[in-house]
Amino acid sequence: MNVLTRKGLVALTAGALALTTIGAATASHAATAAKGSCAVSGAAFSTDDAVGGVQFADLTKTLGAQPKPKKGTKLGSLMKFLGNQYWIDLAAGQKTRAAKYGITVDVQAAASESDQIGQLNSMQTMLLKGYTGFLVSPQTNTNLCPAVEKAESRGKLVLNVNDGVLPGAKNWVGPNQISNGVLAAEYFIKNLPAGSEVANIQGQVGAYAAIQRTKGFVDTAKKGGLNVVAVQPGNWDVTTAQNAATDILKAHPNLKAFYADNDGMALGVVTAVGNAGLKGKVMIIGTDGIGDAYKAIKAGDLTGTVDSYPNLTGQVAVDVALRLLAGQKVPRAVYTPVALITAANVNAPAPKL
Amino acid sequence: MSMMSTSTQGAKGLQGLKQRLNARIIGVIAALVLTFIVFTILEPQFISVDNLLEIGVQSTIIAFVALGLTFVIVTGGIDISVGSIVGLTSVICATNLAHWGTFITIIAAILIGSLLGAFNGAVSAIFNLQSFVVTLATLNLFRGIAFLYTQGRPIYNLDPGFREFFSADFGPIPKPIIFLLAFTIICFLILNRTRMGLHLKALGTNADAARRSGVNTRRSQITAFVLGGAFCGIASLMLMSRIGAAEPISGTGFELQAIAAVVVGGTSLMGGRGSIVGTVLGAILLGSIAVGLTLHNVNAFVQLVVTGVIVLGAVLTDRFATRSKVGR
Amino acid sequence: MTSMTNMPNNIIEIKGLEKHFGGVQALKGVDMQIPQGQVTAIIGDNGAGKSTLIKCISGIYELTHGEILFEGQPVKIGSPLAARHLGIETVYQDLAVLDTLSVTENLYLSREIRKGIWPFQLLNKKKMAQGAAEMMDRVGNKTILIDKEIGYMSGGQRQAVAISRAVGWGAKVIIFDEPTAALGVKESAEVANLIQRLKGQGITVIIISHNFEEVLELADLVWIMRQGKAIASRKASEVSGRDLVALLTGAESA
Repeated sequence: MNVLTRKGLVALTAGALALTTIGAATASHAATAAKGSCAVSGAAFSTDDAVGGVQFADLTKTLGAQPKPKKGTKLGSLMKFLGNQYWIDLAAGQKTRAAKYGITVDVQAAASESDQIGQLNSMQTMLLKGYTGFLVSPQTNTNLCPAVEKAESRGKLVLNVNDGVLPGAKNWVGPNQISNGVLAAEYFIKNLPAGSEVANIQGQVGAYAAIQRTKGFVDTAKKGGLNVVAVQPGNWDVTTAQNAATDILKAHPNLKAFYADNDGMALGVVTAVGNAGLKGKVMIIGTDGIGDAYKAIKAGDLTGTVDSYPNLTGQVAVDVALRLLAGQKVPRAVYTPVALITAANVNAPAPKL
Repeated sequence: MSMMSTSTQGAKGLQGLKQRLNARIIGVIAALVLTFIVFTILEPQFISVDNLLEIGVQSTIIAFVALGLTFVIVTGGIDISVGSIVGLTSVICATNLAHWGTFITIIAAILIGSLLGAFNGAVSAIFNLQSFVVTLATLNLFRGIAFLYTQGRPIYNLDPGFREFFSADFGPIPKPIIFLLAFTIICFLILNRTRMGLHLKALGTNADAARRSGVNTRRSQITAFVLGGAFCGIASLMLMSRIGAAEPISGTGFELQAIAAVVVGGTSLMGGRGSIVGTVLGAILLGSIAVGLTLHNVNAFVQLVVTGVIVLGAVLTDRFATRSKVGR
Repeated sequence: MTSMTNMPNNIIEIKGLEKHFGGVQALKGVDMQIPQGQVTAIIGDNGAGKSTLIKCISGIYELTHGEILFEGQPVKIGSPLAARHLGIETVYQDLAVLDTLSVTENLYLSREIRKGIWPFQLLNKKKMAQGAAEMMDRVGNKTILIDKEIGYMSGGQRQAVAISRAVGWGAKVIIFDEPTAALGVKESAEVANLIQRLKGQGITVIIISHNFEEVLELADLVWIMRQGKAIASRKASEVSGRDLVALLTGAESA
């Protein structure tokens, strides 16, 4: 074994030296730390806390009418994953809006929800094609960074859409995450007696959207006099959420309402509440506004969903990109509409631009 | 002398061997040429130098994982935890890069990758378990540790010097391509010109016969996984320098792409036969298809379909064209 | 045949050898002596323990009880490699050759010739090819293509390589496990010839066989195994096939 260890160490050193030799061959290159959407000193960009962030609806007031795009404007869009209804809707919004202006948007995405390198490769390849600007929804906050840096160093526009959020995003468009939770909490405050017990099923631990939605809900609910008895992780997963809700209901039989950080988990909670024989006695609000959530609201299973209108977000992204290309000074963060959908307004048409 | 006659006949045999090996490589090259022709017709900039270099760069990370995996597959094993090894190695290295500096980080990456690989190999070998099952477990285990280690958060802002070290251009050629070339040669020598490589092939051909022929099969099995892990370590260095960050989710899905590259390159999943050059060409083939489809603005799902068809095609070609009575 | 003037020395002596697999006793205390420089055959029914005994001697199985003396010294044969180091080589029934490797690689597997200094130590293909040619010559096979993968070869050629691998390394004892079971008449005769030649070179040969004719023709000494024990030994010149059958089935007691 000693011989093996010694041989292993020699091999390790040999491998490391080989790497070092080749790597050092051009270490003379000056490190180019370009100031861009991926450069950040200190904390990463928190979109909810953006200084001077504006609602989309206010842009026309402050910046004037939407400028006419230059002829031949061609946008490249990098979606997270086109096997998810949210991103499909968002991409459709981008295409609809582009068609309206007579410009092109090419939409690319990774082949799976967790193929960061695949998404990066797509953007690197798109850089060869001479797009005017890029709309990017990175799979993680940083996976598109090399391509973003390259694009920005060539003077191309990079507009960050929804999430992940580039650590130092220059321009960003998307929903205010914290307001999702706030809207749900406000509904419960209005419709439940003070002191009622409520709970939250959180998304993937550590994910920005999950942190912010839960924060918005918990802070608002407490301030409004509700009793937040449980916050449990559901990891964006239906089954995990259902199990968590079942446990919470056992521990807190007087619970009056659940808020879930996304709709999938909210539907898991619906099942748990039904199994406990409490249908109609416990309110449930989800987030995102997916089709199944709308169906569940109509069926009376789900109280509501905080819809962040992905299609609309996609349209807004194109508008903002065109304003930026026309040289307008758009604030760093532009918030897209978010609305609570309940039985009262479930049949109302979605807002239009 | 009679010895003379034997060696001249040996030379003829050598020629036959070369022909047979080349048949596999030629198949991959033919597929590559076809891919290049089709995409150049569809998108003329496909054949531009920029794009060719881009293909090289984009294929590198998977190529490194696939190179290491080739050693495992040659022994008749499989390591489906490679993506998780990449993820765990990169978050550990990225977290400590600032303290360690570039050189120690390189050593650490190879060492951590090797240790994780050694764990896979040792559990498989000592408890006589199928490596598929063992690495299915460690796929989750390593990924979980990576998440716990970083509490789910990405580590970004990696030192630009470190990134330059692996990702900058050397003259007109991006360094990842040079790394890949260098390590392809090293791997070729290991598999075809060393005792270790010979023993790995023997183990993959017939473990029992190899043991009776004096091969320490347990050690060879572990060695294969250590090599596989070490190359995952190198791949994670490439990945960190490319993205400038490391995330616990990094490397997810690498196992399927890497296995595809190995299989397309003519290495048999049954073990016993492997081609290093084939593996690299396989990775480049899959990489150029991805680039070509993106250039042509085709939906990413088509890429999955095409990859699937190519892997199937490779396996079938193997089955019908180069089948011998040996059956592998 | 060489005449036996004196009682020969025993190169291998087995004392009280037991081998258990879980609750099954495959060998129940075998005592056996293998004389130096002679051809010894071990015969027995299926399940008598012949193969298990051979695997204990060639380092594949560990003994449960008992001991093996090699050239008068007690030895522990923990692995096939350890057996080789003592000078015990085995030609297995399935030959234990590696189909995807060339003849040369098979002959040199785990005994490779290398050049250079570690970790830059590469196989010395040229020297191994020369050596392989010489080894094949020694078993009288001059036509085999040493660079060809062995999986593409005929049964006889494969056996020639397996035998050559056992013979080519200066072994003191060579064990043949059912050497002719899978061969045609002509190839069987070649193997018989080879065994005689090995004996002529002073090498001790052990044959496991079912074929009594072959055993009586080739062997000097025959050991009979039954139910996990070595029950008798006979000089081949002094027994008939019928005697052996009687011993084997227990019709005649040892």
